[in-house]
Amino acid sequence: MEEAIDSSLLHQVSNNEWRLEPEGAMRVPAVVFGEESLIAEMDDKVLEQIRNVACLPGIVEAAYTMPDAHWGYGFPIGGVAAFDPDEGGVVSAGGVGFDISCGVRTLRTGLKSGDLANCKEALAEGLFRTIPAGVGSTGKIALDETAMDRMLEGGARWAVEQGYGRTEDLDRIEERGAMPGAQPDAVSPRARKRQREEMGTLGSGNHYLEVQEVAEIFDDAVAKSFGLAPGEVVVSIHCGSRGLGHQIGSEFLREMALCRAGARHHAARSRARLRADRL
Amino acid sequence: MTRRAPAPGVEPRAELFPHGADIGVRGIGRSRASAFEQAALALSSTVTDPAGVALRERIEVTCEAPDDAYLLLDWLNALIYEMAVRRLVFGRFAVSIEGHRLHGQAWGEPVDRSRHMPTVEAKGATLTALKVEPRADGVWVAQCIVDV
Repeated sequence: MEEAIDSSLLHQVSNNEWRLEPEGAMRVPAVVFGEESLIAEMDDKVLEQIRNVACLPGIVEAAYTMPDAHWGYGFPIGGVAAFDPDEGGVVSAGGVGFDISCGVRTLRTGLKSGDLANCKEALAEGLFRTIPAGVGSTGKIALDETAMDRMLEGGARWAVEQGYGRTEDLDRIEERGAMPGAQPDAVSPRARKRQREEMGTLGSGNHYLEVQEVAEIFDDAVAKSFGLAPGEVVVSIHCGSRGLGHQIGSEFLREMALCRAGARHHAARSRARLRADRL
Repeated sequence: MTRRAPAPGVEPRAELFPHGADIGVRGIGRSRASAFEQAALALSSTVTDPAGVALRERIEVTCEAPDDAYLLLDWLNALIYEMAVRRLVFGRFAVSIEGHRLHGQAWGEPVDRSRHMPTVEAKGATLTALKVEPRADGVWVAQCIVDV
């Protein structure tokens, strides 16, 4: 069991904003967003990790945590920071995590919860049967090397071109779902292989598809802008790049970490030679 | 440096330990290689019960890294890769290590979702809580957080 955050270390700025002033090697303060009950539930790794983030070169203004912050990898999950390259700012291959373009989408269905009252079980079974998810599942999308390059470069635009979305969807995605300057040739054969096997599947663990009911509205204006009302049924999907992203992230993170440790020469020479042959 | 011999009676074992978002895997053994084998068993146990895996296929993995910690990282990530692209689950491992060069074998079978009932999918071993070291009693511990 993780220990709870020591809130006595934080200075309360407002109802939902707390601040940890720079100490030791911290270059900027840490700012923690969340109401008091959420702060009380955070584990102490959040402060440890956000302190570390605040020590990084080139950090701008502050290291932030969102109200969902919890123990992550380099950053806490829910950690946010900006770095100025002109001030020696760092690049992280896996600050918060390893997924590339990991995210949650919520789709309105136009249904009320009562509409599903008599078919919940059949709906759940149908979704489970139809959507490939978890270990051993296979998708229906097969990409050759050329198509893989187009997918890696085009991102969500590629998906729309293939008929997996609508053009207007791109307006609601950061950078319209594709970063300029992508270099598909920098993606290793191992990462491509993992993607090939997983293309079109949902994943498992904290990746999910849930049919949800809007139970309560906390902010009328925001809810209205999203078109949400109590009792409505929505479908929320959490997914990301999965094996592809992890393979890319792990490979570059390993190389960067070894270089940072002063083992640049060794890293290049001894990059893991991994061989696996079915015997 | 003289390394203390492991305490007698310590049985190799695989453990899981908690992490806020993912899961920690830990191998405990009377040697570094044994701890790596147990860490791999712990990794397998995040997906399914290793005892329920038929040992029908064998794969071999070779890794080389600058230190013990990165060697564990590479070993576990190599297994995750094989599980992903060959759709295998594993139930037994054998490891030999010379210096920082590892040769490993893993026995298992193609995943059968109805029989293995896989719970999560391991996406990668991480640098978080990564540690390979002998305890004061000479028993080796190999561990890290796995992203699931």
